[in-house]
Amino acid sequence: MSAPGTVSFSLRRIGVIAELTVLEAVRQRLFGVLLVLAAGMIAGAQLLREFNFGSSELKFITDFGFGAVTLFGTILAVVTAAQLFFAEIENRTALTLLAKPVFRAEFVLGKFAGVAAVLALFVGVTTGVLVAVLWMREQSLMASVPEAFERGRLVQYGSVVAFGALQWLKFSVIAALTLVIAGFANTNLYSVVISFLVVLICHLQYLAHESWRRMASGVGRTAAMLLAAVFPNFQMFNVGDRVAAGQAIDPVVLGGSAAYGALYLAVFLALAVYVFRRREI
Amino acid sequence: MFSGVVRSRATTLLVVLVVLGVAGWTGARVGAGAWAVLRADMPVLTSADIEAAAGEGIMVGLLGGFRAVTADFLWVRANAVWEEQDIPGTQTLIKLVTAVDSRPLLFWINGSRMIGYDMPVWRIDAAAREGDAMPAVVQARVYAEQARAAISLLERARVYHPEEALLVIEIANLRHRKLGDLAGAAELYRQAARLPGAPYYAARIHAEMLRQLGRERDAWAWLVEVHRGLPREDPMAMAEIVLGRIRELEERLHLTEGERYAPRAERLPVGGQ
Amino acid sequence: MSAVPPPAISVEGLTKDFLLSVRGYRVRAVDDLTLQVPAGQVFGLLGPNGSGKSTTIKVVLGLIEPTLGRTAIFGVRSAEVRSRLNVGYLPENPNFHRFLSGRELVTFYARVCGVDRARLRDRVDEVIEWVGLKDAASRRLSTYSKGMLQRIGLAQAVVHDPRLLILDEPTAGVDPVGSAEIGELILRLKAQGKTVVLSSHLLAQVEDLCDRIAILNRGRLVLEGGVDDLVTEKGRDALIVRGLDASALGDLRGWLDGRGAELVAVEKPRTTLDRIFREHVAERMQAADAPTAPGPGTEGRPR
Ligand SMILES: Nc1ncnc2c1ncn2[C@@H]1O[C@H](COP(=O)(O)OP(=O)(O)O)[C@@H](O)[C@H]1O
Ligand SMILES: [Mg+2]
Repeated sequence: MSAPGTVSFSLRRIGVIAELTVLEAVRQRLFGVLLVLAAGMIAGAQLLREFNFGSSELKFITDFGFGAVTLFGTILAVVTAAQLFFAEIENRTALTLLAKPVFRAEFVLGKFAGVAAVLALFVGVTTGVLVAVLWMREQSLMASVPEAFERGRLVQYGSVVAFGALQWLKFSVIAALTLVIAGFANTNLYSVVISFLVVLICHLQYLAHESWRRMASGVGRTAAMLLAAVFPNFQMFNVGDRVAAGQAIDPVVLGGSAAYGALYLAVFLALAVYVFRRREI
Repeated sequence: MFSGVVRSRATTLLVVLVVLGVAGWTGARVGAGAWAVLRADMPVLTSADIEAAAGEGIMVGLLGGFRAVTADFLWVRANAVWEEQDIPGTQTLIKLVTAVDSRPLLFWINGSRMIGYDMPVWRIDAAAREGDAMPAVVQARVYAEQARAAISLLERARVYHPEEALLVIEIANLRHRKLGDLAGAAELYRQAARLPGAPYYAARIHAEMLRQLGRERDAWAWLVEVHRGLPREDPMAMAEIVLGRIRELEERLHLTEGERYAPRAERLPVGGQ
Repeated sequence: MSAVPPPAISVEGLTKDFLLSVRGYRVRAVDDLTLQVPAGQVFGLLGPNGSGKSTTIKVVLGLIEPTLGRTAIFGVRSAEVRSRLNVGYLPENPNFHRFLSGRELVTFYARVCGVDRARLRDRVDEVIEWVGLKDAASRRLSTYSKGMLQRIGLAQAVVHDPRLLILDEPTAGVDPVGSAEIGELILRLKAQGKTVVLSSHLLAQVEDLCDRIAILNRGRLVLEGGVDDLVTEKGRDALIVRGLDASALGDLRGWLDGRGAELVAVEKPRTTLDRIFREHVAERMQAADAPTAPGPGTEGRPR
């Protein structure tokens, strides 16, 4: 607690702001997406039975499940971060809040923590549904095609959960990145569009990284070099294919990707705070 | 306090970019180990793949880290056109799927079965429907053609999966059933049986093929060698059945008591039985 | 501590330019403004739309940076977060989190301001009752009328019991009855010894409330002073008399002449339309106690 007449940076205030942010997401029915997606995953898994893929059906369920989590999680991360941030700016509720003894850093981190909690809920529910669907399907496949399960279960459930955790980290990085962009932007739409563009570039960063040395000098080469230097490599979180193929995630990969994600999370959050402090609200 | 000019977005942006540059340099070191593994896992895109992908409008899926899902989608489509007995459609999609994601064996093996076993039947049926029934000689040629196409797909798969027994077995089956090449198939089964993680039945089938080729002595020697290496506790290994085959062959070869195979477990009588 | 307590707000040489384009076009919202708000008074910041009132307030609250000059609250520079410990702020046209109920909103701001957990509920109920929204406290803000929003805004501004309240156009867009009620609350704050700064573009409306006013135009200070000093015309007195007929008026005129004074004008006293409307509505409400009549008592009732 701070002495009377002084204010110190407070995790409690960040928590209060985060709570409000989650409440807003809940009441604005951002979770409708979630229910639709979970239902879609279950329905999609049923459709796959139409084709007699045998035990490979588990790979398909895992691939589609991971794909859905990754795609919708990315969309949710960008849209909720931008939406919940601009709701405060456009309704001028940020003014009321910042006229209280609240640091701008607390505001940004509180918004982020709320979005991260929403994303954790999203990943938790979707991964949970995926594990349940896989488990039940594997159970029935073990009865109908036992020869495919000679060496035991095919699905690496631990790795499915680890995949979910790593995706949550990636979505949190995306949310923090969106807050940096929102700090520059004047409108919600603009920051959503730019954020998606940046996320796409981050997925292709490795190509720029691998190619700029080979390119002839010129504008293209400089551009590729800058892209490679400035944007993070989001393929670092792309660990799902192995899991779908029934292999566990390599601990080196898991550790390295988590460290990479944590680094960028810290960097983007620091930048989001920096940009917002310099923003004229 | 900052003046309005210093506080401009350009300055802020510059600071952000510099920080990101430093982060990128650090991140490349932090994530180097993980990235080496992940990168090695990512199939190399050839320009032909990219052309095909661009034509199919799946470029974003490919580049955005949705390679497996993209391939799965295409595979589901391949199965849909397969049900309609659409030969060019099925062929194109099999090629595309295996180009997009060369890792799952399912695409290669099931693709080769569509080409090698289903397509000749479709061709013959289609000709019959058009009142142009093929004579047996022509039918045989169709079967052979399709089998060779299937084998060439599987050979391509072997470039990506050189140690995979199931691919070799698949080729052996086509040689045996569709090209009537029993000796070639037998040799492939032998090769398959020696690959790591090969199913136990590969060795048994190799023996059976040797027997059919009249090489009963070779079949016996092979099975004896196989039986020595079989785990007794794994029911899928079917050690009992292999031993039964060995005994059958010994009967037919009229081997003496001394020549017969004596597995270790039989030499050491188990108390109680 | 110096012997003289610092003023509630001090603004020294404040200039604020807004950059309108990257090319460097600027608009000067506040131009070299210097003023002080003494503690314990109701201070009116007046001026037409666009005269820089809200901008001045935002700089004082540290929400935007000044281009030039300095501002402080109770002697603490606005740039420091602790300057806002003792301030409650009601923004212009407040637009609170619509998905919250009135009670949730006030609770949120109370927690942000660090109101003791043990006292939180009581304090929130207390201020909601104070602004007269007890019955509407659990309704979503999206169902609140303009006047109710202003009052819940006032509740969140006072919830942590600050010494200074800054109210930006607290009665803008609110009907006369609602405005009068807000005026009432402001006077009660003054009675509690709070300093209140309110801005308005309706000069007449705040005349009754303010002890002191400053009038801005195009970002510049036009006039500042005590209300009494400004509106009373020195050397003149007004008498309001009942039952004076024409002959008595002639006598009075003569009597005044004898004392060297002059009767300048004889007029019927005028009330304000505002006041007539308020009195009329209040009468009707008392007579019928009608639940359909507009006013805070019915506004707050759930449908
Ligand atoms: N964020 C801003 N960007 C650009 N101009 C602004 C901004 N805020 C206010 N202004 C301009 O500054 C002037 C003063 O505005 P304001 O302080 O809101 O006036 P008031 O509150 O007295 O109506 C106006 O001309 C307004 O257009
Ligand atoms: Mg204003």
